Amino acid sequence: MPRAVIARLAQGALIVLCVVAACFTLVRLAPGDPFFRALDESTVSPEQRALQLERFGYDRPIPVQFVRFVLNAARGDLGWSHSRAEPVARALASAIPASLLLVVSALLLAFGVGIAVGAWQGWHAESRLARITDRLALGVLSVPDFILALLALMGPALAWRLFPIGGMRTEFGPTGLAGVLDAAHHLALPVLTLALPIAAVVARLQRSAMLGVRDADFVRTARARGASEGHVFRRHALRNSLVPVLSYAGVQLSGLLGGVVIIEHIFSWPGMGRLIYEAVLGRDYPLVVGGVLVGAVCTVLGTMIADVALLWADPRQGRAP
Amino acid sequence: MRRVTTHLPFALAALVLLLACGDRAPGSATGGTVIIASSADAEILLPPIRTSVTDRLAVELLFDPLVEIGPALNPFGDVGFVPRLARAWSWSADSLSITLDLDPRARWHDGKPVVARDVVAGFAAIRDPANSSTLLADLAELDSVSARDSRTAVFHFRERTAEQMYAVSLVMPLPSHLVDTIPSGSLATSEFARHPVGSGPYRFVSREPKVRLELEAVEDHYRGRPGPDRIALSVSPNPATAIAKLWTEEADVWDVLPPPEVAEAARHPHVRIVPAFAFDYAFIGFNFRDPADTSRAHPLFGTAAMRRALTLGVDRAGLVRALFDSLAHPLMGPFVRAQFTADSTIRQIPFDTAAANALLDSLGWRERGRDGFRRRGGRTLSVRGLVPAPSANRVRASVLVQEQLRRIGVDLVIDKLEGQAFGAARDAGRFDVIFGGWGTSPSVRGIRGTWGSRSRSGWGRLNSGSYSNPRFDASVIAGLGALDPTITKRHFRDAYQTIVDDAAAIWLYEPVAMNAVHRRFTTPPWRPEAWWRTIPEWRLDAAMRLPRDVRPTKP
Repeated sequence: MPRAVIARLAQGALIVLCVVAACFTLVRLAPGDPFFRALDESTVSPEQRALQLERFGYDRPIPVQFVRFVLNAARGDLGWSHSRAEPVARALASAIPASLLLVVSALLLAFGVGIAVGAWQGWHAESRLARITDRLALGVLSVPDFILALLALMGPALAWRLFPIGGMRTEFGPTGLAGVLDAAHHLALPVLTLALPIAAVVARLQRSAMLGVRDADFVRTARARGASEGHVFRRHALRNSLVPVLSYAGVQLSGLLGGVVIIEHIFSWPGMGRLIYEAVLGRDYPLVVGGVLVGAVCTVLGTMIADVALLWADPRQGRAP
Repeated sequence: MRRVTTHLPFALAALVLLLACGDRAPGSATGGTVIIASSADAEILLPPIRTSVTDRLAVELLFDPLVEIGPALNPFGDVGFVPRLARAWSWSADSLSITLDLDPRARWHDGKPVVARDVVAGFAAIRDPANSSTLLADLAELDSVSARDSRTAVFHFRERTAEQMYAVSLVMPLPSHLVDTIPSGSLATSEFARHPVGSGPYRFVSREPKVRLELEAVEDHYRGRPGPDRIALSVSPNPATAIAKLWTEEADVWDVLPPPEVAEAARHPHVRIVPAFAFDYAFIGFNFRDPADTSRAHPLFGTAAMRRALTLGVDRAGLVRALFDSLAHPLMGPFVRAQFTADSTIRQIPFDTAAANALLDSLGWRERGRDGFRRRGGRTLSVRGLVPAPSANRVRASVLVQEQLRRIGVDLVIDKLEGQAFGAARDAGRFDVIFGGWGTSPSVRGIRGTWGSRSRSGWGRLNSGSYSNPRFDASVIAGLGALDPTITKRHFRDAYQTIVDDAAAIWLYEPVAMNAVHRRFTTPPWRPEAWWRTIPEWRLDAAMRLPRDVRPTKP
């Protein structure tokens, strides 16, 4: 097991390096630069821009820049964010907790609700309510997340004023416990928007898996041994039906990073997705690369955690050749 | 004497009325919190290195200039300029230097007095090449700034121009006791840049990049205590979200609402719309050089006839109505109505499809293909139009123009590019026509960079279509050099007429800025070029206070 973990870690490090190298190169090949003001604000002359490019070493060949970046990154220096006027490390340090709060809340909600609803649907597949909730999940899935976000913004936030329009807290709002409640109020809509489509997918996966195991031999055997229906459901059927859902969780973590870009943009949530999106638009090279580095590390770690969870749910996975 | 007594009651009544209509509504008071909704952040908070409009907003609340242009926005001479850090000024006999007497009451936010050495430091930061100041081009004629004594700063010019005092207004002093120790090139990344100490009516409190900026009133400011207690710039990258905050009273101001949102504002009684002139304009610029080889003239637009034909084929008034209804004006040339040199008598190329068709026929583009587009020698009359994707108005305009040109047999292929890609293609001249736009200022000097000949030193830096006409250049030079505003206006009229007659561009529109403000604030007349400068004069209607208007008491 430790050898397998070390091998996976080494593999993960290589993947992260390749992703960062690709991003590092591509963002520099795109038109523009960090000192280029787009549209009607091109007030910095080409000569002045050239001087700034030289100062930050962006005029050197890309491989030279990359080696310098790797050496600096190894020392913990990810560079200076031109669009935010602060060190990249500080920008990431402020964005990561915001994204984590959003993503973890959404994942907990989505998997909690999705697994519960899907398992119930599979266990009671013949009931009318199970069919109705399944159609509802399909309905949610068919709405793209940005439409869902805009609908949430227009209805509950703008028309009914039940939720704030965006941001993480009310400007000059309450502090202390009231401040925490205010933050939760701001968190509600983005989390719901992010969680709903995932919950719908999880529910459908869980339902299918439950349908596959509810009449399996080991379930019938458990019943024959006189175990209660609740015990059979929790101990035998649910645990075995979790395998495909946990596999999906690993994949979803990387997918969420893409999803939060739109949600964070629409709800003005100051997280990683918004940070990277704005950095790309501003050609803020160090911030783009720093953001992608963190994203790649999170994805690799997320996949590894999902693999470990899979082993817990189905120890046979570890014995597979 | 009799005459005076007869009119005295009317005069008194008028005075009472004037006072009643002033900026203080009944129940209005100082205090309150202004939340400015914005889709852009103030990234740079220091005057010499600021770039965007949002940077300017923050900088001009944090730092005071020496003098400020007056409400008439006349950049010529010094008539109308308002004293700020400089309480008085005098000209040398040859008009090549201006001596400014600093206000002894002026203090930096750390309590140190503002001295002449700070003026020198402000100009030195602009001049330092490592800072890449965007102000440098506007201060080309300013040779140096010196400190005669602690209260007297002297501006020395290389040559006399009409906008010398305007140049002075662009130089904002910096606290020399803080910036003199910052190494060259490190100003933007310095601690001072992150926690600026200014001289303006508001002091820096905190900043979360891309989220918010907070400022608070300087109670003992030398110009008097500003009205609102606190100002926050609340950044939402999505403009729709930012504007929605205004509807839900989470924000108080948004400058320049998009046309569809103006109608929405009517549904929210707490929002007041304040129309004002804008300083932006949009145009379709022709490329005078061949995009494939810029050393050659453009195969189509190298001659005036083709440019004129396309201009004749575009219904600018109809396009403006379709895009903005009444919220924009057709553009009359490379200027906006708010500029002092604006001239409504410039003769325009009319919308006349018959004349456009006849002109294209005369150029040999008579044959029509099955698609309806004109052909000559087996080649379709097709042009590529560069359009910035982030500009919704210009994207919509390009589609309307595409249809209008189709009617005269011209195929407009739209190349819609993301902001930086658009800018890179524009600067490289990779287009036939460009849906361009420029932000201007009260000063008309910028026209040298946007439409002046590239062959002149320091000119034409942003003239991506390479328009060039010596008569236009000469008129601009004469206008900027004249010390009499009437003569300046006459020269600029000649320059504008020249470029319009040359059909250098199809002049599209200048929007009317529809600004939205929360009704609980009473505001003085809106300043189109820098509305934020009047925030210290805003007054709060005590009866409409929101919870955020109550400032927590300091321990």
